[in-house]
Amino acid sequence: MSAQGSKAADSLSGAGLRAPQRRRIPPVLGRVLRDPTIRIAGSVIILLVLLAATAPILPLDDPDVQDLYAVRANPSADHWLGTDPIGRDVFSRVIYGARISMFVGLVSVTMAFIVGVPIGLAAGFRGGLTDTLLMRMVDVVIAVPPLLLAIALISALGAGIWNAMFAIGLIAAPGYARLVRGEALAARELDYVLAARSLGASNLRLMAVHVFPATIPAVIVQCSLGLAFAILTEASLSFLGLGVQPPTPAWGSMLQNGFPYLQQQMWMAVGPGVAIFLAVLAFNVLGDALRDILDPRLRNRRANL
Amino acid sequence: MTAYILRRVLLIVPLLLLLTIFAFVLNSVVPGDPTGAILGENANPEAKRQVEQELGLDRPMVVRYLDWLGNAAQGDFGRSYVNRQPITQQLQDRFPVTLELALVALVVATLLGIPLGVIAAVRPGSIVDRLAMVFAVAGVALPNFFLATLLVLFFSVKLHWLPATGWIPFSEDPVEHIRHVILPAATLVLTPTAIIARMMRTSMVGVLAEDYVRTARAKGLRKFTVVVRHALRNAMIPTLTVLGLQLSALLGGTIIIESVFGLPGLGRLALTAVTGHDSPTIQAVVLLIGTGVLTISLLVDLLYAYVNPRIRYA
Amino acid sequence: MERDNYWTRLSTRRLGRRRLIGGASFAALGLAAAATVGCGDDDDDDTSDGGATSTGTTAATGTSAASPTSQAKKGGKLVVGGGTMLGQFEPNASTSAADWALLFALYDTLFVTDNTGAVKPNLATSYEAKDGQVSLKLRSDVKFHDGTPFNATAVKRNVERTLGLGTKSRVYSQWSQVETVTVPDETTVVFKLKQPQYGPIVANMATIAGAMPSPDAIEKLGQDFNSKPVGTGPYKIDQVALDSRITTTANKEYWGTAAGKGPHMDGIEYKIVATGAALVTAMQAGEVDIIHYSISAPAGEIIQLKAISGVEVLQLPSHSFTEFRLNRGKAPFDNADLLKALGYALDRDAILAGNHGGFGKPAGGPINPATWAYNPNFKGFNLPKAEREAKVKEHLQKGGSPSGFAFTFKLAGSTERAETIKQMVKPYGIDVTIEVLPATAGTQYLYDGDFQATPSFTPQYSPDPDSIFRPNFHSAGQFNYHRFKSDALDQLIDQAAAETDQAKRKDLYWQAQDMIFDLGIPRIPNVHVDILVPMKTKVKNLQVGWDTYMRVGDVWLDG
Repeated sequence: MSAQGSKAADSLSGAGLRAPQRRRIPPVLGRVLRDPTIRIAGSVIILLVLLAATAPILPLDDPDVQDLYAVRANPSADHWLGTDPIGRDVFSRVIYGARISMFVGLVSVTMAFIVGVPIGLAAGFRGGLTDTLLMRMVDVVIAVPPLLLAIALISALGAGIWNAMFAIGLIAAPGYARLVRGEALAARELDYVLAARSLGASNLRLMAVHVFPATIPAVIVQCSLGLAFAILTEASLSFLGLGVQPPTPAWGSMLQNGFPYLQQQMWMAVGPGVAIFLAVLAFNVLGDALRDILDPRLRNRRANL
Repeated sequence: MTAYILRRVLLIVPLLLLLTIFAFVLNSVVPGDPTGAILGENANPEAKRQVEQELGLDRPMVVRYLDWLGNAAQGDFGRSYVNRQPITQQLQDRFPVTLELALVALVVATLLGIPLGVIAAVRPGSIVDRLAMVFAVAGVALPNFFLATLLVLFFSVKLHWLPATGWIPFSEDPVEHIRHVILPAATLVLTPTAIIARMMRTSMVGVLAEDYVRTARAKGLRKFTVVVRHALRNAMIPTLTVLGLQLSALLGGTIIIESVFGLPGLGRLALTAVTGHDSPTIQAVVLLIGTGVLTISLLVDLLYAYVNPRIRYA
Repeated sequence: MERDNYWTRLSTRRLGRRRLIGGASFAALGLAAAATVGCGDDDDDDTSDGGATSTGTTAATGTSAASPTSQAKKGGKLVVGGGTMLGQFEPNASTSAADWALLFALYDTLFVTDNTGAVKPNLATSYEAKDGQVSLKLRSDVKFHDGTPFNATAVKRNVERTLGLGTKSRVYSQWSQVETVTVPDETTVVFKLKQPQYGPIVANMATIAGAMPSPDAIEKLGQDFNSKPVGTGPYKIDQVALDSRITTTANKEYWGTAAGKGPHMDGIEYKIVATGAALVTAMQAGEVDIIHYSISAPAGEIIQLKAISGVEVLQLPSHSFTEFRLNRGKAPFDNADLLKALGYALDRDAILAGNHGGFGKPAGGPINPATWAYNPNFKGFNLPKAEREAKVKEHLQKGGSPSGFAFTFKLAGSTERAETIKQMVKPYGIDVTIEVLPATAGTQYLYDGDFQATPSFTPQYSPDPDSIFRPNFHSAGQFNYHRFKSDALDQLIDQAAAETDQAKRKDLYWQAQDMIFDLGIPRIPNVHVDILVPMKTKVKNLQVGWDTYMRVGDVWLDG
């Protein structure tokens, strides 16, 4: 509990800068790569990302092409998951749906990051009135349940993929702000930050160069969990018809469209349902495993989203 | 301690005020003509202007806000644009439905999640532990609307055991009421159970590693006694926060479930209001749920301070 | 109708719903007795109201297992499942057809109609139309649920209230041609009309516009009347729990009971589920007896419902068609040949099979097969594949774009049909872009002429063909925002409306159909979609109006 450890700029192991329990550990990256949970979850994610990225060059049916004479077909060699009510290949749509989900996840997490991190940094680093004001606003936004907020926002903006991403990013941002604020609060008292300050570093520089890196491990974890949250929320919104608009294949709307057919053509709904489940599961598990490694202190904390 | 409590309680005032502003502004940016809710889309401009005047929409936003705030403070949220019914009445009808669902789900989740977490923590790495944690992770990832439909398909359509849709007030028929609550509540239970179990396991593992537990065991106390009498209380502290968070999540998370099961709760009210540009109703729902969540977090904070004195000085 | 989301479509539907127009502007048929046309609204949905046949003699056919009422069993409760009701249970305020399955049980209309559109007596026992006036004879044995008497003064108060509300009333346009209302005696009410157009207004009295609420109750309850409606109908309101259920009880003092009409059951429960999957599962789980679709049901759902034992699906011919609307004032569809190339490029059988589950008929022209003016020899765009393809090439050539052209579908809501069309016409070099507008966009862009094409739905307001042509294709038509104008066609429409001999009228409408087809019809017909009502076999004597809305007042339950 004593060692402050090397303050060497091991930029990857921000955790190392202030981890209270110091042990002789191999570089964090190595640990991450060797962790079996991370390997499994990571493989699933890499597979999803690969499928999403390469979907157009894979030997798949065009997800938008309708075969009106083969609607609601059962799974076959041609259509692995059958076809939907207007004769589109469900398997192909599930794969293309991964594209949408990954894209939505990435953009909305970036958005949440861009909005949330600066707020958290400013609040945590400046403290005082800035902190109080910003955090009270964050409290209020968090008090409105995310899905309700998302729906209200989308009703303001109109349904559609970009608005959905915007809304998801915005409702996730307070979580980042709160997290980063906590980290920044701790980091600003660290010796090297105090030292830098005494050397006359500007506030902006202190925040960006010294405090921000200390928050990175927590933010990485939050991003992974945030991706899961974004995918799930987008699916919920699409399920309600407020997210990605047809004919663009999105898991949530596919699930919703498939529901009336669960008894006779269950694959129509089960396909996208399982896809959502797997993707969310993989990002959650990855996030948890990263947290265990990157920041043991955080183990008791759960993203409040 | 008193100072902390006082400070924390007083904080709710500015928070609520901020919330009202947030709800009002959020809603005022909603485009789509509120008169459309009353007149239909292609009403002539003259009729639109008249209705706007009747609704007071021609006044400046600040005036409208203060007016609304004044009435809301007295529990009057005005009338719905769509059906001209008093919104307060709607809230009174809907809130109990959502609250009941959320509370039932939370209680059941607690009753399931805590023992699950404790059992897993007592034997870390065992099969039980692993299964519990697989459940904990999977439970968060399964979209509840997906689960809902699977449950309906199985228990309502195939087995005809439980109703698929609808809501019977308790006062009308208690047995039917319970039968109608089971499936939606069961759907809602999954995620909080998973989260509570995880949280409980993590904190329990931590507590069990503490010196006093080792001491107690060394004194020859039975493991069960140690876990239940000594460790549980301390391990519950972080779980408490999670419980508060989960209740908030449930209050808002019923939107989809209420739609799938056709329940007359707040979530469905909000969804209908949002799609119908019924601004006063949206404002009221956001304010009501937001207030509920802020109150819960206040209670959790106070409780937290009570069980964990260190926080008061943090 | 397009399939779109279950939970959001209720709203978009409502927003676009019931754009009412002056019935007066439609037509005067001048047929002696019940020669009427209805009026109603137009738009992207299935709404339609008002209407009558031109003969007024046809018997009801839109009836489930039509049985003599003497067989009617008493008692029981009917559970009607449906989508979100808005709780506007007052005819002047009602904007959603989801509410109408209830309204038609609570309120009697002055006249009634059935699936054929025949206008029959109800609260009004007869009418006389002459000298710019319509006078009604009313029943004298009718009381409102609140005990106040229904009489000519009540009708006068109701109509005058509507006229006073003006466009704030959702049924104003159906009454707008009334100038004054007078009451010679308590069973006679006389409407002086602005123009001698008798037909439409009588037909309108068989729609929701002719529903009679208690004027005393409206005065007393004000806005609360919406949730505490008082009519004269066979069922009285009991409890209103929006988004849950609305219950009614039998009106024991119903005037019609003596004549063998309802109410046969103890009450009706309207179970508000949501449309779509939840409604299907509710029926699969046996929780609803009948489904009231306020918009046409997605074919897939109907197929699922048909598979349930003890459930039948009532299938009735349609009075409307799916289409897409083109802007004739803008390239490329200012060019009639390119328009025709697009029209011929559609494989309507495929659209019918794929998008509508086969429930309907391919539509080659605007006049539907349920109407007497239907011309069985007119094929329009609906030719065999080889002929169509030749026509496409021919018109592309004539239109100056032999290798094809491009246009944009602009729409709010589901793009599925647009997507179908896009793929269907691609092989001909016709390139479709789909531009999706936010659900809040409304339809202003159509009126502004800010579109090239949009997929939509044309309801027929009444079985009279005038209601197909006048609002949509007449240059003064309320919904002719296609920038389409032809004096010759206008003349033909007016002539057909003024003619009283049905054979001659038929001939004129055939000419009109040929003419507009030739000029380049700004609404390219796709499919005549059937009216579908899923219900348990025990439900007897259900009336479904030709406007697709059900009248449950006379229903009884067999078992």
